[in-house]
Amino acid sequence: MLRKIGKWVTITLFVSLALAAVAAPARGIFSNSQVKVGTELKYGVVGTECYVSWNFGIFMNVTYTNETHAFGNITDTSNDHVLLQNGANISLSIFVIRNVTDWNSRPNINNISTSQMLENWDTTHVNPADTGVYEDVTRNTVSINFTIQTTAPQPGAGVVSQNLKITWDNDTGVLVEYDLVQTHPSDQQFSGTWSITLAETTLWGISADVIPSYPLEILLLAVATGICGMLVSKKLRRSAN
Amino acid sequence: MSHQQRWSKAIVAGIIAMFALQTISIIKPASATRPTTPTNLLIFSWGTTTPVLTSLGLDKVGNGEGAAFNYTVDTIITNDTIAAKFPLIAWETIDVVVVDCFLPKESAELEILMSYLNGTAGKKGLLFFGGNYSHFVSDAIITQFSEVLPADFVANRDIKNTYLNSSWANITGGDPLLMGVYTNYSAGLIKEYNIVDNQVEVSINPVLDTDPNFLFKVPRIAWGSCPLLKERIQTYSPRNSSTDKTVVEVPSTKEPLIIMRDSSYKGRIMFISPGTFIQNKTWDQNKLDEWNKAFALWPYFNYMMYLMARWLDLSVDPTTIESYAEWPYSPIPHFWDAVGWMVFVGSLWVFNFVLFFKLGRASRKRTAAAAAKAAGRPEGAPEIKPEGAEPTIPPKPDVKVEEKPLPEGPDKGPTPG
Repeated sequence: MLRKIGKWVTITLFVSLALAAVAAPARGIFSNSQVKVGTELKYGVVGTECYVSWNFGIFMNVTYTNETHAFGNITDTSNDHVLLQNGANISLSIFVIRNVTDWNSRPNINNISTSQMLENWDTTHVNPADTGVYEDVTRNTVSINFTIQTTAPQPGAGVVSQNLKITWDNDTGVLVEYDLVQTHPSDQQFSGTWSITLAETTLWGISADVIPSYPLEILLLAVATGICGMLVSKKLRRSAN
Repeated sequence: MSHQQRWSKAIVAGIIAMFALQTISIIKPASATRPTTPTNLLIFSWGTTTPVLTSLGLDKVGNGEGAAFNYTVDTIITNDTIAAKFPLIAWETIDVVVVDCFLPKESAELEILMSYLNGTAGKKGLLFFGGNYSHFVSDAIITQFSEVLPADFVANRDIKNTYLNSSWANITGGDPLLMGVYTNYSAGLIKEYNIVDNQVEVSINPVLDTDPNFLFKVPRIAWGSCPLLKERIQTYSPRNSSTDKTVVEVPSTKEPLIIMRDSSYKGRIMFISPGTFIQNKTWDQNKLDEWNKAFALWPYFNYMMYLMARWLDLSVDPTTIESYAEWPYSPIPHFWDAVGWMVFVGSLWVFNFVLFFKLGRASRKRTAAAAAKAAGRPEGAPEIKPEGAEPTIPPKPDVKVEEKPLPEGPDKGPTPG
């Protein structure tokens, strides 16, 4: 009887400690709430179908900020960081939306009052309480999902339907995802998808100096309890024999 | 000849017969009753010993009665022979043109070829393989020929960029600068005729996979077993939504790898962007020009060639094209192979049973003879016993076990307690 109780106590302790270790708040995550000079954003770009070759990486570093805007350099990550655009006057536009305190109202983009995105900024299209995992960290996000019709002036191009889902990080206002699904009604040459996803940033991430998610004290306690339980169980079994 | 010798000879004869049957079934040529008329091929090839020619040669007229393909040395055109052979082509006899990494170099000759493919002069089938065409012909020739292909492999960069930039401008309210810089830069890196070599998986177009009349799927070709592919011509999409369809694609990017065109006024075309071109030269950054070796060694590759070439021939009813199981050159046991194996296995069972009972009977006879000898009867004389009596088992001679006293000495056994 005593042996059985010992066994079940050990199992219960093991399970509860394991659950506690898993459910314990992740450690080793760092987070900055503000985009500032020196902030780096690296995006991966993936195109499919007609945009299968439009898949080079984008790298940005912020060189200047003011109340409403961030400015910086843009380089290509896949070709030895070829500088695509330089200068403090290049606004990072929707890549960084600064000082947004209320995502329910329209964000300030390029000091403009009209754009198809802003026209669709309502409760039907905006989800202000989304979440997503970016660079191994779960972030609260804001997303907008809408469809526009776009025309190309070239002969034979016609009108395409473009469904856009744009997602920003709630706290810092940086773009984390831009998904475009383009459909041409008759010509498959112009149908495809193109998406930009934040791959690396200096704004948040996991610090390399600690093991995330598994606090060492709890792990040691669990191991010690397990060993004690096994020893007690063995002793009891021997006594019974 | 004794009874035993007769049995031995019968067993040896049986074994020889079984192996003979099996051998006949293995070396048996293609059936003479294949319900086909040959497809006449015209082949533009980068060499005379290529994986494509080897594959088409399996089912070639001359290899067996009722073969599927008819082509001769006169209808294989290479870089060395095009000047002499092209003017002599008997176009009216050709059913399917195979283009494997080589094309006519002169624009006028190319136009003649194209006229037989685009419906102007004829509706010949076209089986087009990807490859490094730049080895033999100019980019202008490739671009010209791309007009007949069902694939968009010269990307319309300007229109695609306009769509991307316009959508960005619509979002930002009229500032396409940022995205324009990026997309123009990206498009500038794309070549007109682009060879890529990243490793990709292969999967069948899921829409066509559900079509019961679609030929190029299981059970004819199991695309799931296709090896990873690498070298290929970059393709973006089928060109015409109504006639051109992606057969096989890269599942993650939807990049078409094989595109088919089934047009009533232009004929049929199969475009295969990953070819099997092998040239011991380098084409870019010292990479060996060896295209998709594993693809040509894939067990379905030869059948794929057969199936496509036969489908491209408009005179062939697609429903009569042999399946992978029926095609005599597929690497599986066919009907007569299966019959041979079944007979062989069945014969082995019979042989084993006969041998088992025969040896059992011989063993019983030896036991009976030994018993008779022990009873004093002459060897071979029948045992006399009353009718209906059970066979007697000779009594075992009494063996007395002599009881020996245990040796004296110290007791080395375990001591209880």
